[in-house]
Formats: sequence, C-alpha cells, structure tokens
Amino acid sequence: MAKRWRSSCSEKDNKGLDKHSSIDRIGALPDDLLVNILSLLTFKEAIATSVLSSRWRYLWTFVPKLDFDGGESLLKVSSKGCTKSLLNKERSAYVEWVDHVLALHNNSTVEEFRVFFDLDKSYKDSIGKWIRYALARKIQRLELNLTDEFYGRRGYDKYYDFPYKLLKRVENPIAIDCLKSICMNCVNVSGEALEFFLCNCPLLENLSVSESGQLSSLRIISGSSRSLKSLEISLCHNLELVEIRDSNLVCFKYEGPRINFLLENVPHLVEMFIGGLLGSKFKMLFDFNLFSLITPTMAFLDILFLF
Amino acid sequence: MAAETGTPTTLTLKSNDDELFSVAESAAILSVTIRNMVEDGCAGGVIPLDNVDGKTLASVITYMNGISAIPADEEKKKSYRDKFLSDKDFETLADMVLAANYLNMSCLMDAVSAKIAQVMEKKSVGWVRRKFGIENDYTPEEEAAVKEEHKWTFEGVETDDDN
Repeated sequence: MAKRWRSSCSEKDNKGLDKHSSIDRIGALPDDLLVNILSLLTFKEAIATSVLSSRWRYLWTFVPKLDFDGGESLLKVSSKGCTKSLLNKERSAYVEWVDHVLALHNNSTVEEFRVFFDLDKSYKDSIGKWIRYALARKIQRLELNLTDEFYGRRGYDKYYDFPYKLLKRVENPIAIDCLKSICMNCVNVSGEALEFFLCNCPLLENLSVSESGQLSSLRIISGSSRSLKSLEISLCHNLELVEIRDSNLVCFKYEGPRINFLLENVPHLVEMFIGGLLGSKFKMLFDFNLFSLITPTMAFLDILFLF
Repeated sequence: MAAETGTPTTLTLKSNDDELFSVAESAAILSVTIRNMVEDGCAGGVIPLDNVDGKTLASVITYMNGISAIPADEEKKKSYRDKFLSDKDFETLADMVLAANYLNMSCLMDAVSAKIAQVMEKKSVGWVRRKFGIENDYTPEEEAAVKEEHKWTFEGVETDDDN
C-alpha cells in the first residue's frame, strides 16, 4: 500500500454508510483521527495494527509518541538462567527493533521519545543516532532509561556517555527548544550538558538524572529555564555540588551521598526531599550548618523530607 | 454573543438530514466551529451542520448541555464524559469522533478517541477485525510478511482473545 496521508475527511466519506456492524466503520475515519486513536494505545499495540489490513499498514508511522519499551524482554533478561550471550542477543534484537521502526517512522514531529532497555556504551552509535532523530523533530519529552537493574550492575565505565558535542554542533543546529521533560538513567551525562539543556530549552519543566558517573556539579543559575519546576537527582556518586539560584523551582529531590547544596532565591520551592543511603549504614547525609544558611531562602517550603 | 442581560440566547442547529435542534448558545459554543460562526455574526438564523446527522447531533447536544452544566471541576467533567460514553456502541462512537472533529470540540474528541482505543487495547488482530468490521485484504503471504517485519513488536503484544 502506498503511504498516504489525508489531512481531512471529505464529505463523501461520511455519507451512504449503513449502520450494520459488518461495515468497516473505523476504516471510514480519516487518517488523522485514526492516528490520534493509535497514539492512545501503547506504541507496540499501535505498530501491531499494521497487520489489520493494508489501510492500516503504515498508519502507526505517523504516531508522534515513540515509546520503545523493552519491558517484556527485560523480564527474560532478569530470569535466573539468563546468560551473557542471551543478554547480548536480546540487546541486538532491541536495537534492531528501534532502528527498524525509526526507518519507517514518518512524522516530522516527535512529542515523546523513550528508550527503556539494558544497553551499555557498546551500542553508542545506535543510541546516538536515535537521539539525533528525536532531537531533530521538536521533541517535548526525552527519556533515556538504559537500566542495569535487570541483568546486573555495570558500573559507570560501561554506561553510555551522553553525546554533549552533538548538542553544540553549530553547523547543524538541533531544535531542542520544545523540550519540556528530560529523564536519564544509567547514562553518563555531564553537568555541562544538563546546563546546556537548561539554557537552551525555555520550556523545560522537568529534569531527572539518576546514576550518571559524569555529573560532578550542576549549576542552575540565571539564564536557565524559568519554566523548571521539578529537579530530581539520584545516585550520582561523583556529584559534589548543586547550586540553584534565582529559579522558579517547585520541587527538588536528591538522593545520594553527602554533597554541597547552595540555594538562593528559590521562592517557589515548596517540596524538598533529601536522602541517601551509603553502604549498609543509614545516616543523615546533610550538612546542617549549610542547611541553616539556606533556610531563609525557602520561606514557603511546605514539605521537607529528610530520609 | 449572549445578551448581556435577560434570557440566554438560543441557537438553532440543522443536521444534514434536516432535523432542527434548539440549544443554548452557552452550551453550543463548546464547539469552536459554532463559536466562530457566532463571533462572525453568522449564527442569526439556522446553523447548518452539513457533516453531522440528526441522531449524532442529538447525542452531541446532550453532551454539550450536560458538560456545560458542570462547573469548572475537571474530575466531575471526566466522570460525566465516562458515563456519557459508557453505553455507546462502536458505530455511535465512530460517528461522534467525526462529528467532534468537524465541530472542533477537543474535549469530546479526546474522550471518544480514548474510548475507541480502550476497546482495541490488548485485543487480538482477529477480534479487532471482527469488532470493527475491518476486511483483511492481505494475501496470507503479505500478512506473514507484515508480521515478520514487526516480529519483535508482535512478541511483546499480549492479547485477551486470540481467535
């Protein structure tokens, strides 16, 4: 079937259809309405509709939410008998799947792009290509969850390094100004890269980073997104400093080892969660002197949760 | 627009099978298409809605009246929408999504689309084809090729009914 995109329904499509259920009622809907319905299914279910009939074969390629959820495969990987070679086979299958889907995908806009699978830095070429694809399509929500919780911990040196250079490439500016949410797990993303996002994504509301080995400091200062409402950082063991100044931040969650916090003029901050667990000992990892210094800037704090 | 004082303005809508309906302007302007006509001053007489039949328009007007009577409470609106759509068969839903699109009513359109998606969720290909009257025009070889093309996808899709 030729890929065809009808932008609106002609009157002819509506008339003369009788009411029997044997008539293809859903097929009478124009493509854009069907794509709208498909984007409410899981991405896999949307792709699976390609087998219904030739009319449906390429409809899913216009869905703007690309959720590459490798959950089922991860469950296989987490089973007891899983070997390294089975893991690598599942990894290759996942990568092939994403590559294949992106080769067919047809929408110039990607609202949401989510990668959820156990992938290490040896897949950097593919992952880099996926990120370029998403960032070139006015992406709003980016999630890179390269989890290592299923097969076994990898360590920072095996984590994928986020390609900061890609963002700075001047000759090929990337349209990242629509980004509203960024979540990364088991990705080595640096403070520099995050600060680049913060300064170049005026709509950025939500930033969440966990298990980055390259994050040593994060400065959210004037020039950063004024839209930022939620910041979450967890288990970044090389992190030493988080500095937040002149920000509209509402919620800040931190979990990890003891670090320096510097908060100044954060008048909308109403929820703050600070906690950490090191080794087998539960202990408060908070500098109380520093805390007493910052409290005057947090007059409206509703929730302070130390765990 | 609605008069500043006095009785609320009523509009007359005409379906494509020539049925006439009276509806309060305050409810009808949930449709951006109708609102634009009102704002442009084209709503004086009868408003013809060429893409909506009488049965569907009656349903849409019930929705317009119901939802506009609820104050700004998103929870209550959602529960009204769920109840309103709960007894609609698929043919009606398909007509309503077309009408909502034509009338430019995003809240109704989103709710009906979500309802149709809900019907499709976790169902086998055979079930969806039967339910929606979709004719399979693939040859067995073509169908096998499409399944092979998306092998990884089909592995992960669970279905309630595989007949």
